Amino acid sequence: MSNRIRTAVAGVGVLLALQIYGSGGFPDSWNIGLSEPINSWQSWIRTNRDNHWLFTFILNPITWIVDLGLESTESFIGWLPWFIPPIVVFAVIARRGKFVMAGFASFAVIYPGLVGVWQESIETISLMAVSVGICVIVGVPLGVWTALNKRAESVLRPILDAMQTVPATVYLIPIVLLFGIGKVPAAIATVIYALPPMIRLTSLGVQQVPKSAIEAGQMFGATKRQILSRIQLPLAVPSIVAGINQTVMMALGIVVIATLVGAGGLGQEINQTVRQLSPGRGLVVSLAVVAVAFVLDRVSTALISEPGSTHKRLPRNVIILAIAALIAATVIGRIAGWNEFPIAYGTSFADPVDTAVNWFRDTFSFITRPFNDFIVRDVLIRAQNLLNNSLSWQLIVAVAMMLSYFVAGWKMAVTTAVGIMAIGLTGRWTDSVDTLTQTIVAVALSIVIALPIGVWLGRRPRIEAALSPILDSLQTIPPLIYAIPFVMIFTVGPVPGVIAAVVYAIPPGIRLTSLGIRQVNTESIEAATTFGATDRQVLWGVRIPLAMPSIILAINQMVMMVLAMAIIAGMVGGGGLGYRSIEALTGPNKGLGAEVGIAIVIMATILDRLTQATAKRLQAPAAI
Amino acid sequence: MPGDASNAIEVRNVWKVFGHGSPDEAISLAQSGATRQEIISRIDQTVAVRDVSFDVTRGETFVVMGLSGSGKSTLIRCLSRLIEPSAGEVLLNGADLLAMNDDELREIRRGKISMVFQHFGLFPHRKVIDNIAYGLEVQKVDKATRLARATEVLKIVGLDGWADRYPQQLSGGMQQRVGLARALAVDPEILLFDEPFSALDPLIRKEMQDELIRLQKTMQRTIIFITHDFAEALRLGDRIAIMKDGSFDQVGTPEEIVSNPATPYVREFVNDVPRAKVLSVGSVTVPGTAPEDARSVSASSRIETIIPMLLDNDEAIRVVDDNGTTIGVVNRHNVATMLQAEQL
Repeated sequence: MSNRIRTAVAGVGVLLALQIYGSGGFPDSWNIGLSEPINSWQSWIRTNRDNHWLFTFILNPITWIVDLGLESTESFIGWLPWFIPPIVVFAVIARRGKFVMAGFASFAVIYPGLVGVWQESIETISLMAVSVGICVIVGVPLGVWTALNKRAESVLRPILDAMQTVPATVYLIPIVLLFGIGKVPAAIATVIYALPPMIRLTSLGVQQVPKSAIEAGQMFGATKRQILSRIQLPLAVPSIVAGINQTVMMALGIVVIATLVGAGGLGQEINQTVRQLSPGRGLVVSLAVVAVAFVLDRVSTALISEPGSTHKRLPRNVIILAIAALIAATVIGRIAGWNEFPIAYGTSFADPVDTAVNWFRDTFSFITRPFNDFIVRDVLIRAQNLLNNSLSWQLIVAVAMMLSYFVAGWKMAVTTAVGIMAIGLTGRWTDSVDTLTQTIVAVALSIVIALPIGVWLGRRPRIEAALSPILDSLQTIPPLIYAIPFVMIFTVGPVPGVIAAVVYAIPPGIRLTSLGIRQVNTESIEAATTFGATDRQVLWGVRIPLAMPSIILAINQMVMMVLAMAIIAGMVGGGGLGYRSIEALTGPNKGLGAEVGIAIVIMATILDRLTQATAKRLQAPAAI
Repeated sequence: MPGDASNAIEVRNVWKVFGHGSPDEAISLAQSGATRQEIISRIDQTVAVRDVSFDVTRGETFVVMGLSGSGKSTLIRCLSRLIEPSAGEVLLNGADLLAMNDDELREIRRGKISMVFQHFGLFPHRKVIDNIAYGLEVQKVDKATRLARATEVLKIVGLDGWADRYPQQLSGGMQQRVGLARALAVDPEILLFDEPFSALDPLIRKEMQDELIRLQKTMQRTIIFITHDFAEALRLGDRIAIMKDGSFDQVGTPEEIVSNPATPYVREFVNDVPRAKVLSVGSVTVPGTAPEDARSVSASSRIETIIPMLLDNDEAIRVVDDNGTTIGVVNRHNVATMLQAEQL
């Protein structure tokens, strides 16, 4: 016991010494100048763009092919009379016998036209279709390869992980450097961002093929190629379809950010609504994005037939007749000049929403103003002062190390210390502190909201089932949209970013928490009940402790999602790393992007590992 | 008999060692008497199959019975090289399977050996009929021929009318009938069964065993059958091998094993067996002569079949061999003595 006290006293002594002799903030002179090589690379690219082989033989042909794909898709859809796409979508889905779904989907095709963003949605659809197409062409073979080849998997896996943690604005930078500004770099960025789930799910699908099915193939003397093409690939189809759906969703998530490099389309519209501060227009346009996602998702699912499905095939002459009718309709439509969408009711949807938000802002300003001021003045600025000036950076590193040590042991303590110092060395200490404090506030708010709701829902599966479509759609809306109403209510600054992050992060938080509560072993609960425990005792003594790993995972997810929102926070005046990454992307100092990228990846990794380790510690020991 | 032309398959000193690195050290350790557990703790390798040798004659049903972890699944996979054995020989009609290259091995699998799997191993994306035709499809047999053959086999296993369903629409027992049909469709010389009925309900299991016995009567294939169920082994096997820790404890006919278990381990299984169901009348026959008008019974019939006769009256029963020659008599006393031995 006295040993322990001695250790504690020594620890406090060291911390005090670090505080007294250390310095506030991270020394600027230690900046290792990471941006330099990037910036010099940038000027090298500028001088060599026209004659270096890298451009003339590799990058330019890629640009040319992608551009051709985008242009032809876009002009083809634009050339069609407006009523053809909804009919085709209806036919493709109705062919599977899902008539209600087909009706919804064809309405979703018309919706952007109704609200006056027909042309923009064609641009976005073309961009997404081409990007997703490239993802499938590249991702499926890579997925199969990683499934069959252990070495390929061990090489690709860390790359895929990195592709998903690095903020999109950061890897847009090399793409902009190499491909310039325009739709092609936007498509390439979308491909990079949306490719990982395609590869992962293909690989998973191939790996999940039952071993006995493969052994059966081998026993009948099938060659490796026959086993792959006749057994493994067909059985992986459901997983590949899921991969395509995921890829579509991911591609959609980057639509807004891709406009920073000139993607145009719906994302551009959304960006503008943020500048015009029109939540109504923002909502209308973002619903168009959701509609596009919905259509692409349903159509891609309907095009691929699942194994074992027993739908009837249409007779050939019916299909021929239908195609002939479509062509005839197209010709007639062209002759009559019906290719523009005829009507637009955009403002009549948008205006009431704007009015409502304005009313809300004015009516509740007695709450929102003080809340805004409290968060900014009393929480964020104080915390930033504390971390930047009052506490020495040496003390911060030491405390973080100790915390990591208690949660996850020595290795993690060293990782944390090295990581924090590395952030300092990139020269982005102050920005990181900004982002970190906002993240902590957002996560704290998310926990306070999501966990009680999750615990409550966990014992009410019916209500949860009813709520789940709402939670789902909250996750498909592009993150920037969340921010718009809050920008109006709270004015530009860190608070709308924080609130938007909270709204973005709580659905998975609620999901995972209620899942954990629901999955608690029934026998444990029955046992507690037979001993006469009250509902409250069962909840606090059995359900919550047993659901703890899942709850910590929920927190982990929320931390990750809040960090992902950091970029969006930057777009609405949140400052921090998000703002810097946009500055890097749109301004001349591209090297800044590398610093920001490294800082944010390090921060994400440390927070991720710490929460995961906590979850592991809280897990009841597994059976031996 | 080794080298006998009537052997369909001869297995010589097969070993399988799992773990990183060369198996040689594990094999030499095992040869000098180390147990499986000692080898794991010393070099972190597992000896799954340990110096197994046996012959199976044409048309024979050879059952390998063992509990989980005994190495029986590994052994049957070594016989078809789904798992590559670490050492040994597997001779099919005198040709060493382990020396074959991929193409030769594929030829053997296409024509000579078929396998039925524990969890059926059906292809969920193919209809029942296409599952059955799979082996022929791989051999590039034309569609009409292979479907005709598949339909024929479907009828043999009693599933006509189910051709256009998907496997997951069938019950477990029916799925395994498909598995059996798929194996039979290529008309193999040797059938490997890897615990085919262990995933089924007891009643269905019994039904499938009867079905297999019925089929085997007409088709006379060479069968190697893996099971963890001793009763199943007794019902199906012409000969049984009891496997433990990677090697065979005893090999023999059901009667030999039940009447004379070689090790305490084998005895544990035998103890639970109702002997009257396994042992033949011949095993309790004593020398002697019966009166002219005495009832007679074949020496090879099971003891349980004469119990009603013994209860009927106490006269001795004459025992005759397959040629009708009298070899002795049996009475209540003999059978009761045998049954009492079972209790001890």
